[in-house]
Amino acid sequence: MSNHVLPMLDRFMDGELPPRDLAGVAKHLADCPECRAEHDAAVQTRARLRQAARSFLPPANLRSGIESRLDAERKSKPRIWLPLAIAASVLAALGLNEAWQTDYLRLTPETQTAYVETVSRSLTPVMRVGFADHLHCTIFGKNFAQRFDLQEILKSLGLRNAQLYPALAKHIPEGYQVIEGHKCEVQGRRYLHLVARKGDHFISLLFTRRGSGEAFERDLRSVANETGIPLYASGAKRFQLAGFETSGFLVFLVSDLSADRNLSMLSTMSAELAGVADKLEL
Amino acid sequence: MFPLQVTNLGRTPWTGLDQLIRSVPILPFQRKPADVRTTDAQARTRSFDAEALPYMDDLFRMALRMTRDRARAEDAVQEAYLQAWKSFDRFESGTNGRAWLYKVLFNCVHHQRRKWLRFPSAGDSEEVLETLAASPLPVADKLSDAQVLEALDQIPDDYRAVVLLVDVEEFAYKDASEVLGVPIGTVMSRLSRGRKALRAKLEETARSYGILKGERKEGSS
Repeated sequence: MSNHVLPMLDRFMDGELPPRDLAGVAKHLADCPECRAEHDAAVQTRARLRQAARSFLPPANLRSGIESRLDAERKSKPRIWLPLAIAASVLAALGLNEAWQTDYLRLTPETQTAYVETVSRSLTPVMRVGFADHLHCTIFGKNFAQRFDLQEILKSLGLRNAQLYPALAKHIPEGYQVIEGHKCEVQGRRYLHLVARKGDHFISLLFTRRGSGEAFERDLRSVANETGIPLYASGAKRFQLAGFETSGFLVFLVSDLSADRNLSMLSTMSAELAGVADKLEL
Repeated sequence: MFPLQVTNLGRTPWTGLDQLIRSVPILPFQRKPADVRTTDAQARTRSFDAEALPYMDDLFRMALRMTRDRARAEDAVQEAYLQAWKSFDRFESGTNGRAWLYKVLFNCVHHQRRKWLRFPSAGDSEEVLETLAASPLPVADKLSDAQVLEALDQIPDDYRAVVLLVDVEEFAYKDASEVLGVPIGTVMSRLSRGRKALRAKLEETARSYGILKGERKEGSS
């Protein structure tokens, strides 16, 4: 067999033989039964192997497995950052509040509404009631450039509601000042709104009339009940919300304090606030 | 605070916080993070997905025959796509993307094998092979798919890899040599020996299942 073409058979059947050798091998195969049998067996085996190896069932979740690993990688380490992306990160780190207060952002009513919707998404409907006013009035309203004096506050709050002022002033954390108290309206809903401020940090105390069927407990479990008044709490972005309800009002405390501090602050005020709620005028 | 790869900023170099702060007010606020990401990154993702994802079944088939274990094969393929994505920058468009993916896959399979010491290997003893003469008996047609693969699984890894690349994946010798990182001459010698070994194993398998009776070279069709 030493004169045969066996050493070239692999390359011949794989189409890897140089053109000049092709004709010679083909002619030999036509003439030599031994080499032809070898060639045919090799080709047949190759075809059979190809068929067998391709008769497999790929895992059903192969694609999703690959994609989830790629997604994780792409999200964790974006390789290309350009200024806009960096700016967005810085904005997120600074917080909307500071960025807004320091005039880095100019928001239209549409973008305000869009922002409120975005950050409120995780909240229950009742919680959104208090959050919306805090955002629109305190954060977007931005009307606290000058400090109001006490007479102004009491006047715009209404004399029957004046006792809310000391209730809040007694319990705000160190460094905060009550700078505002007024009646306001957001999306057709009226609020009694008191604001304490420390630099770019704001605390809102809010009262609004309970609509029929409105109750925190419909969607939330109370997180504290030390004073006999069930308290409810939620967080959205960097804002913390705590609330409770009386027979006539929904009461909210919204701040960027820690969740614990926000809740405990409302907890210490809750008995006093609930006590005056019946006499409030809105 | 966030991953910052200064080298990748390209034509807009990092020139400090001032520039950064000044760039904040012009940011349209409604933009979602996905829109803020550079279009370069999106184009890169699209290009990779279009180039690489269509081969996942092929890669799995290869990994399955090399690892002989579905879970390990799946793991190797996932890892291969991850590694391929990470080095996609270095991949030049227009070169053989499929061969490049297989190369990455083989690296992952080898790495996995080192990690799992109990990984069954068919060994790489050449002595056995030297004694084998190719049998012209066309036994493969009489065997089931599973039996053919059983025979394939018994030939040494290096040979099996070349036989699979050329016979099943239909790579040219040049591409197979690129995938495995060995010279073309090595591809040819491994292919020749691998095919011989496969046919010997097929005959052995046929005999063990009682499909082929009698002594070697006795049968005829």
